Amino acid sequence: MSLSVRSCSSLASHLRSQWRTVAQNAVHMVRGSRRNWRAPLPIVAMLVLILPAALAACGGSGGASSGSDTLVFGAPVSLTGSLSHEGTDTLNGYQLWAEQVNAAGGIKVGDKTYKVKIKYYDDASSAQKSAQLTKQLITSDKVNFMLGPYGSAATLTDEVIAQQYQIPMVEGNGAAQAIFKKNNPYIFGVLSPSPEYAGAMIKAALALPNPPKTIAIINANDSFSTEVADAAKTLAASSGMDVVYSQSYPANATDLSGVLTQIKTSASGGAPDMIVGSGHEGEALTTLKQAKQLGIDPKLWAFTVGPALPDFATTLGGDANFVIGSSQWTPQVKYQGEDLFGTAAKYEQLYKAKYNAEPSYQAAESTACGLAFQSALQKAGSTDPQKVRDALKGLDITTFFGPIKFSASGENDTKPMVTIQIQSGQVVTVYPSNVANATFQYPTPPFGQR
Amino acid sequence: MARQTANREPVADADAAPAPRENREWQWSLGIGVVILALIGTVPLLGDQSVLSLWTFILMYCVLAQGWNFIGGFAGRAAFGNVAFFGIGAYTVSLLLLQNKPFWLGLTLAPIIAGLFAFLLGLPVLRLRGHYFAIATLGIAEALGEIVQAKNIGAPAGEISLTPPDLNFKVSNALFFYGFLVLSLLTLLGTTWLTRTRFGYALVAIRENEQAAESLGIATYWYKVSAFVFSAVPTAIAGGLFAYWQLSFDPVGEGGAFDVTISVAMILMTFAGGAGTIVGPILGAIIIEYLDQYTSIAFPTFHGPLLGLLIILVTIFLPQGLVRLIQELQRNPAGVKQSYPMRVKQGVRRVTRFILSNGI
Repeated sequence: MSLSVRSCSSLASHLRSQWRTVAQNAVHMVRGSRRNWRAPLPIVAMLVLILPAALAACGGSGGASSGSDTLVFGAPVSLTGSLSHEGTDTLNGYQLWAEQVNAAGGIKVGDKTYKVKIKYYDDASSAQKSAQLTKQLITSDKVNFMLGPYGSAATLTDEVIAQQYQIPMVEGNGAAQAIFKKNNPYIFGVLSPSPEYAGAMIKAALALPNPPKTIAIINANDSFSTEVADAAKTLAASSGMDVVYSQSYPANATDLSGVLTQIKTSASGGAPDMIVGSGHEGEALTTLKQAKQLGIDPKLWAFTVGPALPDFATTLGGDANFVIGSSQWTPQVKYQGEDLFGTAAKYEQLYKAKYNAEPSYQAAESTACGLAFQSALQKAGSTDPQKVRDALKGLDITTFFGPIKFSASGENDTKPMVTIQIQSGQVVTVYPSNVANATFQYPTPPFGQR
Repeated sequence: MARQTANREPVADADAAPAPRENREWQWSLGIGVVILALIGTVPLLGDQSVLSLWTFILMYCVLAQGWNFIGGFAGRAAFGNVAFFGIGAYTVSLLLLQNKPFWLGLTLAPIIAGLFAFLLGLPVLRLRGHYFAIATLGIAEALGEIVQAKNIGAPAGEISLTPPDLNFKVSNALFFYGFLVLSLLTLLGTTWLTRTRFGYALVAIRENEQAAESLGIATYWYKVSAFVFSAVPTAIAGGLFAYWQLSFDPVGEGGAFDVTISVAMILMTFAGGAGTIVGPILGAIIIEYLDQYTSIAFPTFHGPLLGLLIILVTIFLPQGLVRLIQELQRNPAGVKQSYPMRVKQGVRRVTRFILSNGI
C-alpha cells in the first residue's frame, strides 16, 4: 500500500499535489475558519447517504425474535463470493417456502399453529465462515432447526456443529457422499446422492434403441466429481458398456487438450460413442470448445454440471445442442405432491411470480428441505428437536420435487434424477420417459452440423 | 520504532530528558499487549461457543498479522504470500494426522518445514525489489495451493477431512482457543524482543533505507532472509492449529488454507494497527476481524460493501495505523511540562490534524 505511494509515478505526484491543497484546507478548517470546509463535504455526504441505506438493508433479517408461536430456521447461505449465484437461489427457495407456509396459516404442530421465519447469514462462500455462522445461529440466535448451506464443503463443516448441538439439519445442496459417511444422525439430504448424477445419464443412454457401446469418463479431481465418475464407471461396466478411457484432471483446469487428444483414439474406431464429463461448468465448456478444435465427434456428450445452467447454451450457441446433462429437478417433472406446492408447474408459477425468474433445481431442492421439516413437524406433533429428528428418519412423502424418504445415513436415495438435453438452445427433459417433455435426440451430428 | 534511539545505557533520572520516556514505550506496548491478551483469555468463561469461535479466529489472525509484521512491518517488504506458510503448516499437521501420527509432532514439524521453506524461498525472492518481490511471493502461494489441489495431496483435490480429537467438543474448542492465545503471546514477546535488539534495528534500517543500511555494514540480504523465516514460524504453527480445529478445509478458494485473502487480511490488519509496532498487529486483527464478523451478522446482505468502505476510510485516514495515532496523541513536541488537560487538548488537536492531513 505505502509502496505504490513511495514509487511515485507522475500520476501519483499529480494527485498528491491536488490532495495537498485539500489537506491544507482541512487543516485550516480545524484551526477555526469553517468557510473553507469544502472538499471533504462529498465524503461526508457519501457517508450520510450510505449508512442509513446500510441500516435499512439489514432490516430484512435483522431482529430475529423467536416468539413462542414462530419457528426460526437458521440458514448460512453464500450471498457473495464464488458461489453467490447458487447461494442466492438456495435462499430464494427457503424464503419461498416460508412465505407459502405463512400464507397458508403456518404449520400445525399438535394443537398449536406456528408461523415460520428464515434467519440467514452470508457465509461469503467460505466453509469456515459457514461453520462459524452455524454456531452463531444455534448458540446465539437460538434457532429451532437448521437448513443446509450451499455446497458440499460447507455442508461438511456445518453438519458437525448441528450434531454437537443435536439440532436436525435438512440440506438440499450438498451431494458428496462424505457428508453421509460421518455417522451423523442429525443430517438429512433431500437431493439424490452423487452416483445419480452420472447414473441418470447412463441409464438414459442405455434406454435408447441403439445405445452407445463404448464410453470415456473424465472428471475433475475434487471429491464430489471423483465420486460421480467412480459410480459412472461401475454402472457403465456392469451395464455392458466398454469403458475405454477414464482420466481425472485438476479441478478448474482451463486446458483439457491433453486428455481430449487421448480420448480421440481411445476406442478402436476412433472416438468412443459416449463421453461423460464429471466436473464443473467451466470445464464442460472447455471440453466442448477444445473437442471442436480437435475434431472429436462422439455420438453423445454428457456432463454432470453445466447443461442445466442457462448460460451454457448461450455461451456455446449451436455446439450446445444435443448435449445431455443431469438435473435434480426440472419444472417438467410430473410428481403429484402432497405438499404446499403439489406440482412442479405450480412451483414454477409461484417462483416466477415472486422472483421473476425460472426456478433452478437449487431453489427447488432448498424449498424441499423446508417441506421435509414441515411434514416431520406435523408428524412429530412437537417442536422438540429429538422428536422432529425421529420423525424425519421415518419420513415417506411425495412432493413437487419428488419422493422424500431418508436412508439410515440420511440420504434421499430413492429419488431419481432426470436427464435433460439441449435442443435448439432450449433445455428439455428427455428421461425418465414418464416425466419427459421431448424425445431424446440421438446420435449427435458432428460439430458444425447441429 | 524508527523514532526510538539506540541508547542502551541505563537512565538514572526519569524526568531529565525526552529520551527515557521513549525508552519506556516498549514496556507500555508489551504491557498493553499482555493486558489485551489476558482480557481475551476470559472469553471461554462466557460459555458461548459462537463467541468463543469468533475470538479463536481473532487470535488466529493476531498471530498471522504478528508474523507478517516481521517481514512486512519491520523489514518493510511487501510480502503477499505469507499464506503459503499457513497452508504448509495446515497440510503438515493434516498429513501427519492422516498417518495416525500425534498432533504435537505435526505442530513441531510445521514451523521447521515452513521455516526451511521460507529460507530456501527467501534466497531467490528476497533479491527482488518492490513490486517484483510482492508478485513473486503472491505467485508462490497461489502455485502451492494449485499444486496441492492438482496432486491430490492428503485427499482428492486436497480436500482434507480429519477425525475430531477424542475430547468433548467444548473442551477441545477451548483448548484450541488457548493454543492460539499462547502462540499470540509468544509472538508478542518475540516482537518485543526484536525491537530491543540489533537484529530489529537492522530490519528497521533496511526498511527506511536499504542502501544506507548496507553502507553501514548491515548484511541486509541475510537479515531479510532471517526476517522471512521469523514470519514463517508463527504463521505455520497457526496453520497447524487451524487444521485440527477446523477439521475440514480445501487448498484453494474462499476459506482455503492457501486462500490469498488470508494474506491480504494479514497485511490489512497490520497496517490498520500499525506496521512495525509491538501491539499494532494485535489491535488491527481484533478490530478488522470483529468488524467483519459484526457487519456480516448485523448486515447480512450488505456487509461486503460496508466492510470495504471501512477499509477505504482506514487506509485514507490512518495509513500509519492506530498505534501511530496513539503515539501522536502522547507526543510532547515542545518538551515542556504542561497540565494534563492541556496536554490532552493539544494531543487531540494534533491527532485531528494528523488524520485530516493524512487522507485529504
